[in-house]
Amino acid sequence: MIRLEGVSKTYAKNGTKAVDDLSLEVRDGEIFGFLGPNGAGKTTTIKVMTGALAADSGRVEIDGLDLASKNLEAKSRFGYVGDNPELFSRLKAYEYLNFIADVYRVPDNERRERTEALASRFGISDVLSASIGSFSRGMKQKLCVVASLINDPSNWILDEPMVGLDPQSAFDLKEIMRERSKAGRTVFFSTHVMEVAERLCDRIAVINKGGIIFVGSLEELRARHGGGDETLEELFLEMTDAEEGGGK
Amino acid sequence: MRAPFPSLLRFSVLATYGLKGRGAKDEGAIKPLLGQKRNAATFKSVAKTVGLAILVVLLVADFVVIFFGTNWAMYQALKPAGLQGLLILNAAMTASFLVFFIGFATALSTYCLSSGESLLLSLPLKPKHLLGAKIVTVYLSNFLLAFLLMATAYGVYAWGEHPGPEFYIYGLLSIIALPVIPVVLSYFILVPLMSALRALRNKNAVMIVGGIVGLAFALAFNFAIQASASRLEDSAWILEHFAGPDAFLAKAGMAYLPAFIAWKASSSGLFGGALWSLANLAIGAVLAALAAIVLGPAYASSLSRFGDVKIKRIKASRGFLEKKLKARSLRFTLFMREVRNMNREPVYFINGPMIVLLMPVIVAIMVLAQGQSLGELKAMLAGLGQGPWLMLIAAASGAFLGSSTSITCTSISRDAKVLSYIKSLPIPIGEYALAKFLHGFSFSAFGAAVGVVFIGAFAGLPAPGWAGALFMALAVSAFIDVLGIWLDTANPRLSWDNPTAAMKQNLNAVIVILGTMALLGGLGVLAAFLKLGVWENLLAFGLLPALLAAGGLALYPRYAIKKIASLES
Repeated sequence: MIRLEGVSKTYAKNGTKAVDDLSLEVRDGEIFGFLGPNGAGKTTTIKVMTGALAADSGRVEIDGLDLASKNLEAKSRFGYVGDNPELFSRLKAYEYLNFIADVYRVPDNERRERTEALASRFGISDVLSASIGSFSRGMKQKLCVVASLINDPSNWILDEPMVGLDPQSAFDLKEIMRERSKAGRTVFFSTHVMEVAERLCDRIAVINKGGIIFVGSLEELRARHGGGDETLEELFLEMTDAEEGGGK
Repeated sequence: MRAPFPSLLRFSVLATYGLKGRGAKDEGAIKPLLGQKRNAATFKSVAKTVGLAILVVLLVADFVVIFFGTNWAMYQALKPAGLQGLLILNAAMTASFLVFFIGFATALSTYCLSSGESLLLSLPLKPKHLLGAKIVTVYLSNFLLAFLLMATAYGVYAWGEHPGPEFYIYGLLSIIALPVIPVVLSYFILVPLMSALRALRNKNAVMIVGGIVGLAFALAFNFAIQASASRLEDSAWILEHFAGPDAFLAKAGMAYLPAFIAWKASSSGLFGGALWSLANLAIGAVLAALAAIVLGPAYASSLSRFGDVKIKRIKASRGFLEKKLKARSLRFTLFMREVRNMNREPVYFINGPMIVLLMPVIVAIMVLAQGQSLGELKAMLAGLGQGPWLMLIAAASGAFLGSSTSITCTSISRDAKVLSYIKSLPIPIGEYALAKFLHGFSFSAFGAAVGVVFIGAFAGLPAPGWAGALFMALAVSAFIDVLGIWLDTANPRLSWDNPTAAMKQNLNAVIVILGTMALLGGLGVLAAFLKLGVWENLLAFGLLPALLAAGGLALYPRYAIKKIASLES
């Protein structure tokens, strides 16, 4: 379970208020989609949620653990796939996975079993001894996904995870999201692909200009907009256009 | 609308030299005012600019002093024989030679700056324009080098001979023309090489080859300067080696037409000088255009294949995973990450651990090139062995080498790309920071030992002196390492495009290198002033810095946790 209460974040470098008094709750066992136009505050929210950025105010809880005061315990409860897979390019893939497993203190047999299963599922078993710097963006993304699951976390946080993935890997990723949800684990991901969110998510949140403008299921969203059979994409554009002051 | 070539050239110059274009300035002007934060940023950028300007002035002044001394000695030696005009020929030859090496290294390291550059190939740009812009860009920095070197010679000549104004004009035209050919020649070598050898078409290979070329050049240049410095007072030697009919300068000068033309331009009067100068400019322009037209397509083709990598594919067997995936302590795993990231990145390795091995080689070359009797030097150092002086010299050597790796003072900057991710992991930031210190200090300890052994073995330092020198060297190195990691945590360079900027072009590294020199110099003066005994020296220059380092290190994690949490990378 992930909970954000009144989170705000202004970047000191340029004074931009990226997130403004944001509150959100992601329940156990649900797949939660985080949607918003470019620059809406999605990545900043996720970075605050994972401790990569310090919030100016507000509170983040992971499985009931306060991220500020129980930092390490809270961080041990999630796996994170960032928006940029440019990680440790000088390490070999297996060295990176072993590093992450050491950080999460994953026992030897579990790290081997999970690496074998996940690397095989994402088709990167044969490049584990290669340098990450030689990988394509998609391969790096797959490696990040494998690394994020090496501790079998109760919460899985992904920022634009489909970017760079081939169709088979994107399909596998969605399957894993469903499996984890069925097992009672939380999946939180941001995306620009409305079709993915529409098919996959139990609930969604729409963020614009640093604030949440909708949280709920797709049915609730449709009901709010007159109960028609509009697609999520149409509803999303309607909402964000309205925020911009009436659209085109 | 601007023609493509000037725009391309502007892009190339800005990207290569990391300059900010006019647009960036405009953008800064329209940014909202942020009160004190903006003032602080302005102060920081002004301080940075002033610091860099001082460094550039010091560096340029250093070279001017070297070149001026050499040219003045030559002028004094050649003047009595009426051959002082050879000064210009010598400067032209030397400038062409230096520009060839520096130009080659620059052309190599800027051949393909980033993947963004290969995107240029998708634009409707002609290959000759792509290479032409590159040649002009590399030429610009080499023109400054040639100017520095040749203007000194022209200045010395003018000081003594009071020539007419045309001397200065033709001199400037020669300085403009001469660097073109060595730069163009570099591309005539590089483009076919890059086209033929796939192994060269990647960032690492370029870094390694460039590093070796640069290193060989630096050592050879150092040797030449040191060797000639010891001969400058010997007029007979200068005459024999520079003015004799069999002298290398005479032969090479006659063979290398542009240098010969530059020499003639300075001594052929108003009309003749103009013709020679124009001839040199024409040769340069024609060769540059020819290179762009002939080599352009091959250059564009090699650029499109730059960075092609072949991934090593080996099926990970159960045995492989059992062997490789093993739990280790968090401290060890963080330490190993530091070691691997540094040792496998050529620019980090060359400017970090490699320095420890390189410095003694440079010092040895300086000593050998000076032609001094090693026996005399050894006897002089051995004579100090009765008191604590030899131990202090060995300690200073160790401390200098131990603190010269720039590892701790760039440790946070080097992680700028992954800092955000690191912060999302359950890693105690104190442990993370300690691993960085231990990594830096492990190389400092090695450097300190090498430095002490270097002097100790050469000068026959008595056994107890070795231990004392090593203790002091380790203590001072540790103290500087602690200062370095504090500095880079307080002011890391978080925005960079290539690893060179994170380490080699990091202001923190410059501050620590210069600060170390000042500190060691200050300690040397202090030691000479205090004239302490062995034990007092150990307390003052060993125990005290060790305690300061320990205190700084003890306080550091708390600061690092707070500061790193606040970084927005």
